[in-house]
Order: sequence, then C-alpha cells, then structure tokens
Amino acid sequence: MNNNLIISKSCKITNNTIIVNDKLLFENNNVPYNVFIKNAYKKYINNYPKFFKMDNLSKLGIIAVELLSDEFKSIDGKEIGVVLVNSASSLDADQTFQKTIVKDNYFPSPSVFVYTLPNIVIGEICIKHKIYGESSFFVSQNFDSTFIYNIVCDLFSRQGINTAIVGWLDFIDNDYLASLCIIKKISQQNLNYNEMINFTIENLNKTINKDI
Amino acid sequence: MDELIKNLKKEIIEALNLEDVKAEDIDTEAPLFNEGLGLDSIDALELIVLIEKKHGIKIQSADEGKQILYSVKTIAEFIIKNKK
Repeated sequence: MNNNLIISKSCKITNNTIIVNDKLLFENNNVPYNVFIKNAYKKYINNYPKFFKMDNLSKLGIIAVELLSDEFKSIDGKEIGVVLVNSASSLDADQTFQKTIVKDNYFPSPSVFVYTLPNIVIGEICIKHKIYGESSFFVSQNFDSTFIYNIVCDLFSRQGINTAIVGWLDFIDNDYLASLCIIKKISQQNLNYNEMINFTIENLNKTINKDI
Repeated sequence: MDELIKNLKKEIIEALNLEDVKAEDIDTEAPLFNEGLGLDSIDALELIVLIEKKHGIKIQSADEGKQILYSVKTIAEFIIKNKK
C-alpha cells in the first residue's frame, strides 16, 4: 500500500447518467448518446467549440475529466499524469472512418481519421487542461486493478507526478462507460483530506471496476 | 453565385461540425482560417474533401489550396471556374 496516495474524486458516465463521488449529478433519459453528451457539454463546459469536432470517445473523456478538474486546477500541468484503459480501443472512430472509404464513395475524412487511435482522447484532455505529465493508454479486455495500481505507483515514484487521472474509458456501438478517478499525493499535514480513500488495489478496483 | 455561396456555407458548417454557427454568421469574404471561423489544418483537409465530394473538383497543389480556401467567396469562384 502506498500511504501517500489517495483517491480524491471519482466520476462515472454511463447509460445517460453522470455520477460524481457516487452521487447522481446529471441525467438525460431517453435521448441518444450524441444528445446526452451535448447537453452535458452545454451544462458543464459550453465554451470549447472544439468539443463538437471530437469523436465519441474523446467527448466522453472530456466531460468526465471536466467534472474532476477542480481536483487539479491549481496544480502545475507537468505534475499531472494520465493512465487510461479500455477494451474497444478506437474501434468506434475506426468504423466511422471506414464508412468514408467505401469503394464507390471513397472520400477519406481527415477529421475522422485523426481519432483512429485510442490515446487521442488523452491528447484532447491534455490540450484542454494544459497537462504535460506522463500518460499511457492501455487496451485490455478488463480493468486489471493490480496492473494499473502498479503503473500508477511507478508513475508517482519516477516522474515527478503528484496527481493522476486514472480509469476506464470505453465507447463502442453506442455503449459507453467512463469510470475515472483522481489519485493524489498527499503530505502529512493534509491527512484530513475530505472523504479520504487510500489508494490501494482494492479501493481502485472498487472505485473503477464495479460497473465494468 | 449567391445560391452557391449559401449552399457552401451550409456544407462547411455540416462538414466541420461548426455547432452554434449559422450560415448567416459566416462573412462571405472574411478569411476562414486563423481569424474568422478559426479553422485549423485538419479543417483545411476536410474542406478539400468537401469540394471534391460535393462539387467534383480536385485541388491540385498546396499553394493553390491556400488561395482557394481563403474565404467562402474564393471557394465559390474556384468552383464556378472549374465546374465542368
């Protein structure tokens, strides 16, 4: 167990709902994903037109991280890392791009093509929040809490990082789940951090994995 | 020309996902890049695809592209000049 690290905040987005720290924050039932995510954008961001050019996965990540951003607003971007995992990679964008390269209608879309890698969402998050720390994106069938715990501990020990955005971010066939959290390094004087959850494999698993 | 400009504005809004921008918000003669709509290099590529896909005209070189994509008016003039 790493005694200096805590899970300070979590955000889940799935099935037209946004849950922050286990509390329902936003709900938009009976609308398709594009309407739901646009309404979430209007409510929580609304001043970043580049959002509308993004693919579904990036939009999901941008909204989830926005709702966690008060945890790292005052931190130097060089000290923030990102570790994300999913199982569908960028398949949603890949399929959209494939539709632009069919035999009798061959017009490859550059703006779709740029999203045909899963780690592009990390780029979008980092551009928006001016994050310059180490980042990684893993593609795996499941969220392996032990593996990610070790990756995050390594990130904190070697890279001068004191905050990390960590979790699961997946979008495929209109099925989506963002389950992200903020991991923070705390000093002894901040031990009474509000609603403190120690960063352990078990707590990471409980925070990220319960809906996957 | 007026009808083409009107349609071009609608096509640009749709192709570039310019949410909350209406056709009447786009100044026909204003630069599309940097100022104006603040488009970027990926948008430029998307506009080249749009001109080829919707109007059947290929832009041949990057230098030519810069001048053609300067504004909605320059795009419309290029289409009229090259329409078969």
